[in-house]
Amino acid sequence: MAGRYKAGTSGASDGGFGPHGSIGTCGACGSDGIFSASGIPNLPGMPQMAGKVGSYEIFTVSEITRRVARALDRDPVLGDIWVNGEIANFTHHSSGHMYFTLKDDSSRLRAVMFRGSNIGLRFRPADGMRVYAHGYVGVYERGGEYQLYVDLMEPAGLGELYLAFQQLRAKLEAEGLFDPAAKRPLPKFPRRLGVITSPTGAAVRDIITVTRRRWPGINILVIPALVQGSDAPASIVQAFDRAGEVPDIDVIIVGRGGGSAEELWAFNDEEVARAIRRSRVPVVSAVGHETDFTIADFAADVRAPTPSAAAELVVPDASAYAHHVELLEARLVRTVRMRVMQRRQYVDELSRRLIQAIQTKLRTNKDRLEYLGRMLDALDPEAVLGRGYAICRGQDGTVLRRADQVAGGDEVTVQLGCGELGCTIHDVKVG
Amino acid sequence: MSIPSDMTFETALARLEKIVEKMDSGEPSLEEALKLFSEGTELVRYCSSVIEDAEGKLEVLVQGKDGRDVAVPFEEFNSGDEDREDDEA
Repeated sequence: MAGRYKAGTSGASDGGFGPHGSIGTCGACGSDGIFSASGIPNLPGMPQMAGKVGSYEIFTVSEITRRVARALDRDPVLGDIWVNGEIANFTHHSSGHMYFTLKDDSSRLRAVMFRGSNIGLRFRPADGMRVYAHGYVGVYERGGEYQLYVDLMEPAGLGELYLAFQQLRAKLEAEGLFDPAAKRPLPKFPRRLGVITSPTGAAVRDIITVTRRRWPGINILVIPALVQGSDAPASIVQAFDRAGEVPDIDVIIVGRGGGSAEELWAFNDEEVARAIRRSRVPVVSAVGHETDFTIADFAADVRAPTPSAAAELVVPDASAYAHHVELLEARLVRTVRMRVMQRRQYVDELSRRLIQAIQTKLRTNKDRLEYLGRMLDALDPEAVLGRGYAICRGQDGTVLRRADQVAGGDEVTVQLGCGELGCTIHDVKVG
Repeated sequence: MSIPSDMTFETALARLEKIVEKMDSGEPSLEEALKLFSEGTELVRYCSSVIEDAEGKLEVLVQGKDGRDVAVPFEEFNSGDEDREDDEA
């Protein structure tokens, strides 16, 4: 490590830690040694301070520690490493932090795993246990010691699987295979549900049971696949290809019941993850149990903890919708009834107004008729004759209005209120 | 109006909800309201029929004699295999 870093400020010719490390041990240095150049007795008052002694720069312990810390910080590898080793001197401090040493045949590395990191551990570390530990190498300044700050740890064996899992996950994530923006929404009302799993396992039965309970009318198509063993990934991929050929599948559940990490391993396969993303329709993963995430879970559009939970997510509850439709129907009937009633009222009102208008019209006409009747009565000649007037007609029956219409000796008829007189004209006076 | 054959429950329900909302607003004329009502009742009938549908098909995809996939009833396929519980144990 010393050789990799050029110290920029030390002023020492090769800048590494080597020359300073030789202070006091370099008995053969001759006149260049600081002991002979100025002598320790000259420095007792300032043992903590840096300075120059002859051509040598003197560092404090803290400075050296900080310098080492900086060097480690800058190291491109030490900031993010997996270390394989055997645990020794393990202590779980009352503070919750874990302190231990990782060792192999020829060396030891101090390690600390803080409480915030070790509460996620899925095993209890102990002396003698071989582990994979992830973290960074840093310096604990007070102790002047470098150590591994562990944030993840897995027992070896399972740890190898876990490492492969982490690498694949990182790779596919970088490819965008788990992009949240690419997640497709599930259909609200699927009509045909594809189920990729073992046709004889517990998972398929759970899915059928839940589906039938929630929405009996939904069609289910099981696409058989091996869900454990070395042939399982290829079998699952093939099932997805076959499902892709069935045109009316709306959504796919892929999964299996719980099992050990090894049994679930088919769902940590890269090709399975890609098949999930290639699927034409949304995919719900239902692998194992509540806590373990698989690569398939990350790739799926929706992750369900169990096959039953997957069916609950995919299949809507028919009874809730039946109630909803009932309510809509009731509102529909009520509003239309109200509209009809309102309209009926309006028609009634119009008809009432119409009748009223006609009646008014009729009454007016009746009054007018009576008036006219009275007018007619007033004009009735009989009535006039009754009052003493008379009508005089010539021989041809024409009513005489002027005296020169007749001459002396003409016969005329005079109609009175009651009876007629036959008269002869004996005198005509033209007025 | 009759329900088109490609009608889905989702579109039917959405249309029904819209109709009811429109009716509630009192906006449409009586004639229009009556038309909407008759469409609405058809949608109600359709939705109820989908909800109350008889049990859907439960099938499994198998390779037919000609090598092409066919869906066969799950029970037929599964009969005699019931005790293969250890498949996933």
